[in-house]
Amino acid sequence: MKIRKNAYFVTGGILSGILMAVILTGFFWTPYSTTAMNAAEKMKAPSFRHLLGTDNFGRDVFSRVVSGAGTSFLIALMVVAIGCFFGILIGSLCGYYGGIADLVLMRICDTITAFPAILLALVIISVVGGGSGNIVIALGILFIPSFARVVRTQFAVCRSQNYISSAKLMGVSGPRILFFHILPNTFSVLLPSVTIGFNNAVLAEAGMSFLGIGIQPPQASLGSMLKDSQTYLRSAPWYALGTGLAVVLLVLAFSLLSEGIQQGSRRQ
Amino acid sequence: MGNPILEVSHLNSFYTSEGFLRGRKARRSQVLHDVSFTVEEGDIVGLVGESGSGKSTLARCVLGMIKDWNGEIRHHTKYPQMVFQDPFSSLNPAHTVGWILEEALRARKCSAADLDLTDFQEGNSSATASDGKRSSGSAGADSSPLNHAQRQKVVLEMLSRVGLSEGYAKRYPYELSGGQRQRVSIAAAVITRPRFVIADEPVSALDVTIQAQILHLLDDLKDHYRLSYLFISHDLNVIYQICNKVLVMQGGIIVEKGGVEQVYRSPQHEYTKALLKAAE
Repeated sequence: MKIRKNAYFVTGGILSGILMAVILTGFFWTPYSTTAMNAAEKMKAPSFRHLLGTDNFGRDVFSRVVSGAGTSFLIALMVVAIGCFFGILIGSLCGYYGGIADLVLMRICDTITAFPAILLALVIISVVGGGSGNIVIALGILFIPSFARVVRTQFAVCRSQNYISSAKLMGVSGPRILFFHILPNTFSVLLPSVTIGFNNAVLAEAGMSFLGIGIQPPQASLGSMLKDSQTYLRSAPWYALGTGLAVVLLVLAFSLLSEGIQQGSRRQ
Repeated sequence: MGNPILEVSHLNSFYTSEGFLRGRKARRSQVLHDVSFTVEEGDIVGLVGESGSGKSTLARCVLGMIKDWNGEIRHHTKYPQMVFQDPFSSLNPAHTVGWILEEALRARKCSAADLDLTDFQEGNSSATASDGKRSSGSAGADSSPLNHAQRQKVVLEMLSRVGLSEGYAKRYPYELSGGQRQRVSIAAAVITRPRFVIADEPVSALDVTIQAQILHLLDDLKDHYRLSYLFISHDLNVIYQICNKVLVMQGGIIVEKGGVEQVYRSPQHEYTKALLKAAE
């Protein structure tokens, strides 16, 4: 991969690198407390003391954005991890062995993807209750089909290749063929769908929090902050602007990165 | 000469076209009809016929890749291997040449004894003399699976035997030419020291000069590792260069078989005559 000529990869890499650094710092330290309210500092415009101003409770928006982005990031990461793990498992078995189980599982996946993820998550959350743990599980399950389908297609293509026949003749065991011989061949398509999935997870979490079924206050969350800021759009536009910008940057960084990876793998 | 390596008798094989949930009825048609032949030690048996005559089906039946057959296939050696026609799909693009070759050794848990590696036997030459009754104390070195370093050594030796330098172990298949890839495929097939290899059109994707090199390599390996081949080709000239026996196949039936000279000098079946004429 010629990284230097890949503008998407470079900008996406730099942008997500900076964001990661800010988010990681935010886990341990933010300029102000993210929950402590301060009546004297209510609705202050951006200044050097408060980079993105303060909200209706006098909380530092920048600190809350960083912390909220961190929460979104962690949730998205775990959602993708769950989706990816089970997606690979289901996709590889379905693609390689085929048969009735493949047919049934893939139709279930189709059914799940037919509904908007947020709607299904809403149903699950209203049944099992809220909390970040349940959000992760609900979104994680809903993200399985997208990964399963990508992996399944690659496995179905690879299983009839001569190098797999050859590996079987060599006496390589079934699981080893699946995970050491075929799986590495799916990485080039799996990697972009991981980054896209990550973006979707960030947006899904923000959407759920926006609707009030995601992260519960007073914990900072980009979605619930956007909802709160709506009320003060005229009096305190920095509140909505700063929060919205954070969502855009987070998604943009990983989109660019994903596009860069795709271009890079296409060149090979 | 004379010891049978592979005996196939009255083999019938079937192909079922996919019909499940596609609005068509599954149709089972017969591909091979009453095929019988024997491969003896040291033989290079050529299998010639046009596309669709069932050559590859026969190979796949013999190696157990096709399950729907009846008759008898008797192997007298363990772990027969295969070299495929298309050198681009026969090597895993995700792994290096060295990894691919080592994988064959790993999968069979090959020991030094399996590979007749005298130089790994830590100076204990009596171990081989008392075959079968080795006490567990002295067995040690050569019946246990090779470790990583030993496998690496075998891989590099194998590469040099097929005419590739050590540097190729670290390369990926897409960095190699068709001829080099075919050398690697052959190395991967032969590294576990099988006694019988099926080569399915191993040179038909290569240009003529490379063809000659690969044929020479196969011949060289045959002598070195006491191999026997079933050599599939649609090209009678290639068969004539390397084989000592030939089977002529048409429509799933073996229409003529015999020594390669005999079939060349006095073909009996019309189809063989036509093939010979076409090859001139």
